[in-house]
Amino acid sequence: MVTHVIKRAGHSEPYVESKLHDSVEQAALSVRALEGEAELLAERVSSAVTDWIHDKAEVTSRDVREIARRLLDELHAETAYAYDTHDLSL
Amino acid sequence: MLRNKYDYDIFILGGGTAGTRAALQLAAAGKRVGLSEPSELGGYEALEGYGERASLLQAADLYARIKTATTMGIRGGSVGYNYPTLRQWNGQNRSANDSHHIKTVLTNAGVSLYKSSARFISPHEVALGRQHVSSSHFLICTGSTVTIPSSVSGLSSVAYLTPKTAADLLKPPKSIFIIGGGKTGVEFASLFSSFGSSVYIAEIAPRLLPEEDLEAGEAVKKELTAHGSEVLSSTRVTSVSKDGLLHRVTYLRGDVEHVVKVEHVMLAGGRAPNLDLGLENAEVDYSPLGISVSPSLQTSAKHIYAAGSVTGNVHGAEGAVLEAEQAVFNLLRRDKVSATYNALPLVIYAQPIVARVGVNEGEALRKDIAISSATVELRQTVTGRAHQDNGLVKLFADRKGTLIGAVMIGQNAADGINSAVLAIESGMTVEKLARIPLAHGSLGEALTAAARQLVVV
Repeated sequence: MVTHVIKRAGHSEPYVESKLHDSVEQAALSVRALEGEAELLAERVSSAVTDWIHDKAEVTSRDVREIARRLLDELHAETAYAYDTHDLSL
Repeated sequence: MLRNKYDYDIFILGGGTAGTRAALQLAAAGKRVGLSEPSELGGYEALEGYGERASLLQAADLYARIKTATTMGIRGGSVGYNYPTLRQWNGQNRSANDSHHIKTVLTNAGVSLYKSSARFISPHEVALGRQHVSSSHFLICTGSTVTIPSSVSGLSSVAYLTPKTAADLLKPPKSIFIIGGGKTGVEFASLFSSFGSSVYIAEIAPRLLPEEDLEAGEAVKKELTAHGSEVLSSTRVTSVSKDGLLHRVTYLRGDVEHVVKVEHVMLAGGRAPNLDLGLENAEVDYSPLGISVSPSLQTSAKHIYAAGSVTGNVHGAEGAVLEAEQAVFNLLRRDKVSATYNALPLVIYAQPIVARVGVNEGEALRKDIAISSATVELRQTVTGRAHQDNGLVKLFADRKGTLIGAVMIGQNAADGINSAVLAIESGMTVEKLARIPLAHGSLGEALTAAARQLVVV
């Protein structure tokens, strides 16, 4: 079962782990995390979210962000901040 | 409001004690009601709680009493039991309460049932699998599940029991280690120890039933110890591991490490509310302790209500019923009323049975309420002596002499507490209670005596 993500605009698309992976990695790099660290962080967060999502048919993009941010809060607070304010700062 | 702007008038998340009760009443009031439940209908009460084990508890009690009946002059051969037959009997008796029956009743009432978990995707819409359903109002009754204590290492690699799976055991375990000495813990400890299991029960607090009055924990401990169980208070379980066919449990007691080997390990500690519902998408505020609700049980989103243990206000079936009734009332009417918890009963089906309503000593201390209390031991009454009951009745009154709490311990405590519930609910004074003639040959005898003591004070 592929989980669908309902985007803010209302349409939905299949969940793709690599998209989350990339956005977390970018957020980590933007706060000057080392490349390897950013990669590791992205890996941990995206696989945890994939675990969480696998038994659900549909979630919203907000859910995905919320879960990812909660994990980042514990793992790397600066990245969490960058990830949270990404829309505003770019 | 446009009548058909939404698929439903009220959509209920969770088909437990609170959810099913609310669904029936709302449907009866002519609302279009939808209800989602991913597992079986009935919730804790029907599947894990008293409803599931009622007949087993009854049999355990009878078995224990027959064994001690020689003091009354009753003699018989050896008493034994056949557990498979007992389970079958328990199964037959609970059929009126089971999921299938509840499903029929709900469907007949016109409630649309969905067998999947619901997630909010917007304030007025939930996703049920691929299907989207909209509703004008929502009621969240998703309840709670047993938490896995993070302080105990190794739990992820062993097969442990929970209240749900423990009731399904094919035979009483030879030995069982119960982690948690609260209501659920002592209920299972009493049940299994009556059937001859060797039970270890560990509680972090210095006594069993730490939330109840001192006498309750003591009475249950005395009974358990008499059956050969090990009551480990002030004990912290540190790790659980597999050891052949058994489990090795390591615990700290008074800074000394102990190890025991048991057949089963059971978690009966805290419960955490089920909150993975996409609540952010509906702007519903919550904390790990539960969904925050106003006194009228509205969440931060005014069209969404929550009731039962998901709010963190109440535990158990009685609380779920109370909040469900309250939420239904407020959903149907404009003049909302606040939920009051002052006459909410709680019954612990251990041996002996512990029942309580309203304020108890611990709570009065915490809230700094001046109370006067009176205790009557059942041994002092004719009925208590006849029943060989070591229990007690304890009443609490406030300064004005109004009854505000009661604790009853003994075989008939669950039935007896109802009279105290009614008295408290109606705001009765102890003076009035002492003057009402109650049924002779019942707990009423002790109740009247305790009330009379309070009047004199």
